[in-house]
Amino acid sequence: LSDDLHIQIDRRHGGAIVAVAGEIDKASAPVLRSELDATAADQGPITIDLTDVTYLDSSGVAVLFERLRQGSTRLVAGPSCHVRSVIDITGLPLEPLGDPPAT
Amino acid sequence: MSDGTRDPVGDDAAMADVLARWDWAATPVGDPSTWPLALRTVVRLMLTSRFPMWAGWGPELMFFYNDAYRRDTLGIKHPWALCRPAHEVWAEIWDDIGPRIGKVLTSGEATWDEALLLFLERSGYREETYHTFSYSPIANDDGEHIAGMLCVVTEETDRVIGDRRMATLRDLAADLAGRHAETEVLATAERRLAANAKDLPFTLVYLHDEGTARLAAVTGLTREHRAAPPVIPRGASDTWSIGEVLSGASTIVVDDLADRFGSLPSGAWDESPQRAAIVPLTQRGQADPVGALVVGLNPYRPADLGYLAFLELVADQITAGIAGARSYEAERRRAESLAELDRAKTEFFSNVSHEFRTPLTLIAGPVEDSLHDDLDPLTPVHRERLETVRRNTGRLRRLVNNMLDFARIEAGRGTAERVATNLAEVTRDLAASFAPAIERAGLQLEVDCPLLPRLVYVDRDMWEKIVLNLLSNALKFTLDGEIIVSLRGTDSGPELTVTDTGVGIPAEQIPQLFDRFHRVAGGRARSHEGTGIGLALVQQLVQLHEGVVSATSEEGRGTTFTVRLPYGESATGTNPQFESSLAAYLDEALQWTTESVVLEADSESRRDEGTVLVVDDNPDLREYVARLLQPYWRVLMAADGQDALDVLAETTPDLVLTDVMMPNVDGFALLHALRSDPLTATIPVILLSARAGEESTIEGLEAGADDYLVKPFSSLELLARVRSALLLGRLRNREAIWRTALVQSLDEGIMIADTNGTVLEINAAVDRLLGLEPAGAPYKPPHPFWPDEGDHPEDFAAVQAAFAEALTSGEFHGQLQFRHLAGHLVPFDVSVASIFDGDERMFVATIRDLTDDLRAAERQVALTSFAAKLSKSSDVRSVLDAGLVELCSAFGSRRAVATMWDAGGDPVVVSHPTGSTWNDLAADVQTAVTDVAAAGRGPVVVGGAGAPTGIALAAGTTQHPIGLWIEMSSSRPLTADELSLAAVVGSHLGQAIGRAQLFEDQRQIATAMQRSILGPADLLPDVAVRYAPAELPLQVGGDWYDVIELGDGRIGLVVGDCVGHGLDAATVMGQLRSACRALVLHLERPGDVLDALDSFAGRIEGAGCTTVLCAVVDGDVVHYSSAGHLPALLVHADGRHQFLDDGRSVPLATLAATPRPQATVEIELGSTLLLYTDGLIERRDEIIDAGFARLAQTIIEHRDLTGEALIDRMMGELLPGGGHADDVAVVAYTHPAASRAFVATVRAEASELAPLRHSLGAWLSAIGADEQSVTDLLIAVGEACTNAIEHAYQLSPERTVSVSARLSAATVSVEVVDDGAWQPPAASPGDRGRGLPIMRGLMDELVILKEDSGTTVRMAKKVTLVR
Repeated sequence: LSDDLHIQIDRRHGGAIVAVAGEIDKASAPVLRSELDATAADQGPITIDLTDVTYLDSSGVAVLFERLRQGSTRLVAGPSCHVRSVIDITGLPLEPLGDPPAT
Repeated sequence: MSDGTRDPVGDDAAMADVLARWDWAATPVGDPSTWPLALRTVVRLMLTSRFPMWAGWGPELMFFYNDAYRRDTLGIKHPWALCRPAHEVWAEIWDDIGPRIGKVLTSGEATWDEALLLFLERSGYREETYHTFSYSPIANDDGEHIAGMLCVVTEETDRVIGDRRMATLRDLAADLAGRHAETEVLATAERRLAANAKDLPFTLVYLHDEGTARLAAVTGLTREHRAAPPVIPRGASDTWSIGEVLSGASTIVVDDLADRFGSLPSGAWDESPQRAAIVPLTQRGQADPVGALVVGLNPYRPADLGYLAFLELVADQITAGIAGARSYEAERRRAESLAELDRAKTEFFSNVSHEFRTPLTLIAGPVEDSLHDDLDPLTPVHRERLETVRRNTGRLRRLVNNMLDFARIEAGRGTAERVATNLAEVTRDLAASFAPAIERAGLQLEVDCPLLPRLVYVDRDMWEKIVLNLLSNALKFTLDGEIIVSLRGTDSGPELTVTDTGVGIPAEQIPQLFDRFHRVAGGRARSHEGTGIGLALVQQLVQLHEGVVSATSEEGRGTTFTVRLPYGESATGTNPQFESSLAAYLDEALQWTTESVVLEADSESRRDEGTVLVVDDNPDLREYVARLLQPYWRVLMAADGQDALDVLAETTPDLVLTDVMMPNVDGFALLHALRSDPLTATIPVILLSARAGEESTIEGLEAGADDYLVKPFSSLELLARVRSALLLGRLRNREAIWRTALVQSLDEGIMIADTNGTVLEINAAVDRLLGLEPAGAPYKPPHPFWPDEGDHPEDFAAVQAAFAEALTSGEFHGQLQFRHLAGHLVPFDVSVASIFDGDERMFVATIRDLTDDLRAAERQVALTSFAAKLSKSSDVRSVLDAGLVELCSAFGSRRAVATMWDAGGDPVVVSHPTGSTWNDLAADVQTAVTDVAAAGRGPVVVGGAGAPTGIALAAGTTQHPIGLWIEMSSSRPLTADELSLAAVVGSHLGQAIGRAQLFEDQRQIATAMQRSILGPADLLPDVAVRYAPAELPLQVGGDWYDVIELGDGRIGLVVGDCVGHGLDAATVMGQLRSACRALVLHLERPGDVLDALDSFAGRIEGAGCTTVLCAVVDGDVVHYSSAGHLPALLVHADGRHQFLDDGRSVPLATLAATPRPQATVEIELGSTLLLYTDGLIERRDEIIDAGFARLAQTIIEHRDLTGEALIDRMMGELLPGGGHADDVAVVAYTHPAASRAFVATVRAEASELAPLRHSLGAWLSAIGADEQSVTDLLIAVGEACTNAIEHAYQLSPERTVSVSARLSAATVSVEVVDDGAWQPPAASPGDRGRGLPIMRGLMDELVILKEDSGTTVRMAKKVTLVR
């Protein structure tokens, strides 16, 4: 794992919450992709929390779009999200952070 | 140094690069790693300094130098000079500098040389250069031995040579002032040009002279030298291409002097000039040069623009001097030719007179022979005729002789040939011999000449002429009485008086009595013939005897002439021959006296003198009278009064002789009829009557007859009466006609009033002046022309008082306002004199209109003030400003407009009152103004017919045409006076503009000098400088700026302002700036710098009172000190601002201010620091606080801008077009300097992205950018880098990507450069295609430059700076 990317997976009923923190760039995007793929395969629907992502470039955006296309995925972020401007520009569907669904 | 592409081994490479790549192993100093610490330190010091330096190391003084030295001094010797022994590098000046270096190396003491002349060969030729430099020793690492030396040098070539040329121009101008002769001008020019043999090794002045050029002045060559031909014909053998220069009117340079002339003297140098410049001597405003100035050029200086401009200014001075001398000479010649004309006139008279003598003799001789021919005697008729000829030739001969005498004496050729003379006897004899003429005239002659106590030495001939002239003069003017000739001996000499009882001479004419050609006017005399030369000759002759002649006279009583001579001494001892003039004088005098005896039938007077109408009813008497008169006059006859009136209807006789008693219309009736008709009123009438007795005579005279003859009358009496009546009639007639014509033709108004002041008669001029008709007379006082008492009480009172004064005292003279019938007042000069007409006193008033006089006087005053005001203006714009105001007031015009044409031919308009544009002028005015300006003509009248009239005229020079338009308030016609005034004004303006243009040319040179001293403006990226010379009144000032890089990112900033304007101030400025720069480099603390600058300034003339602001940017603080200068302005990124007004002290070299205070202020990211001179903020009629406020507001508003953009905007707003009155120097600094920008280069691998991002992020945080902006910037930069890595370098991961970023104001600019190809986004927004939209979305600006060599992405984002 990259020093700059931290992924914490909180497994719950009917899915998992993946909290991503740190920087997602060309170097770390493959790491994120494989984590997400593995989690989705094991756990079903996942919620990806981007609140603590400090850096997100087009490589990371691509991974997220890829995940969304495969379905059963939603993106959330708190108000302190650093990368909201990139998310807005690229059109990633971001939901406000609230209680996870189906708890 | 160039910022262009860097070739590591080429000439443009930085010295640091050159040194880094040098093959050191091959040099004596070896590889840099082995260098001693001292050498390494010195080399590093040099390389980081912008001050020119070189160092010598080791025994051979191996040569090291920095970029500045290479650029300023070394020229083409780089890179050859590097690490070469110093004595080889500077072989050509080693004689000069070797000993100085030796002294440094042996003694360890530094040297200092100021402006030392060195002949460098750095540009391919030997060059005259001046350097101020210091050599200092470099100790070896052991600190004991001297291992080398360091030289810090400032090149001062431009300043020294500029000073020298300026001095020549100044001296030339000063010396040429007041030279009136062309030779003096040329001699002065020679002296002054010779004094500067450095810039002018030799000079030749050729003046154009009818197709050839003539050598007029020469310096540095002998006049015999073959390069100085005295005359150069136009054409093939034109040694100096002067024809080409004269026709082209521009300077040319020839460079083959050796081929043309072989050896030439070398002036101040050791080498002869190879090149020469031939400069036309062109007078301003004239197309054709008056000549050419040839100058051998300094072999050690390039013939650059500055040099040629200097030569052209020299040529201008000489041309102006010559032009002035020529116009002065023309003036002088005019005056001389007038005097010459006078001399020629006298000479002519004398020559003509002389030429008369021979023909006169040839006439007189045969006549004399015929008169005395007893063998074949003349008939009485012929004798009579020839007597007349004889008398008149005699008279003519006397006139000729007098003329000759007079001319001879006046020409200074007359001398008195004095001989001892018994003067009493001679005088008695002369008087006696003249006696017959006097006696014949019925006069008594009394001669009283007793023997004198001693002999008198006189010129006999002259004495005779003196006596005879006085006698004949007395006879001529004495009709009855006596003439007394008296001679007395006094202590001082003989005194001759000739006294007559003649008509006398009016007292006021006595002073002119002895003037040549003066004749006493109007006196009665025996003859009116004569030249008026007799008494003038008497005076000349008396003066030749050192005597005096004087006259006293009483009108009607007689005149006495008195001649006083000294006894005299014999001059020559000889007794010269002389021809007595007695006979000629006597003959003429006798002729006068016979003239009064009527009997002589003088055929000369026949018929031409007039027509007499004889009216008598007795045919016998009528025929008799007619016969008597016929020999003399034309005679008409009438049988009675009625018949006479019929004749008179046809013709006007000169005299009517009529019988009294006649049928039908008698004599009195005829007389009455004649007198009542204006046409015949003045004809003299003589009545003939048989009635004797006083009563009838009185009756006839009362009826208006001029004379009355009682029958029987003698024929002689009749003829005499007719003759005198005719004379009287002619006089009366002539006088009357003359009087009427004169009075009517006078411009002056004439009014004649009776004793009560009632105006009886006025002339036509009064009608014109006052609107009073002559026919309306009489006008009783108060006259209709008196001012209205209610409207003009003072003028009325003045007229009333004048009237009273005239009535009581009989005269008045003064200026009065009269009322024209139309109502307005007119100023008059009024003279009133009184005359007596019979017993009644009459008044004659003469009035002269003073309107024109007063207007002319006003214009004279206006012109004088016009010229004075123009002379105070030194540039075209202010000449025009002053000129237009004066024009408006001189002409009372509505507006005055001056038009010039810019380089593109478009009209530029200046007007008074301001605000008029070209399009405000009517089309015909535009055309007229353009035409007169182009042709240099004027004045031309335009307008009228409803449109306002005005005058268009040219006022500029050929090079700079200017058209003036003076617009009147109405469409009234313009007077010739106004046009000639306009022409005078135009020529005044033209001269002033010519002067101003000369001044502007000098200013341009000075500006160029100033700019060359201040140097190029490409300094540091966040520092911008600007110098703007004053536009109004167009003078170069002493303002300067300087930016000095001090290492460690510190920057020295300086602005200063020397007192004064012009080249002097610029020169002082150059020295102070150099000194200040050296001191900043050396001392670094602003307070210390100004302390040291104080003592430097004290030694430079003109540097006192200079104000300087010196600041050093050191990290996040600025240290500064001000010597009386305006405070710098600091504006922070958030808009806070302050003027740095601590650290202040007095201007340079004024009071002892040591130590000068220094202050420190913190600056922030994006802060702008502005140093400036007063021209930026000062405005006329405004307190300076307003200027400060305006400056602060402007900078706060544009604080986002930096560098040139900021200065452009600021100058545009603070100094809007139209010019500023003072020059301006500005330095703008934006914090931080670009040296603190972010630069990184990474390998093209994904793993490099994070470290790059982190370091960039750290930099962004350090500059205080807000968190969101940091994130956005990092993402955008990351995208650019990712793209480069992904696509550009897939095949070669060894390649690199470089990223640079800098903060300007509150904007971060980033540049990402690779040398691959940018990938266009995919057609659908696929994964990687999102990079570009992300960058575009996050950044404010994005530019992608795709080239074959690679891709550059430039982006910028405005950030919020937080501390």
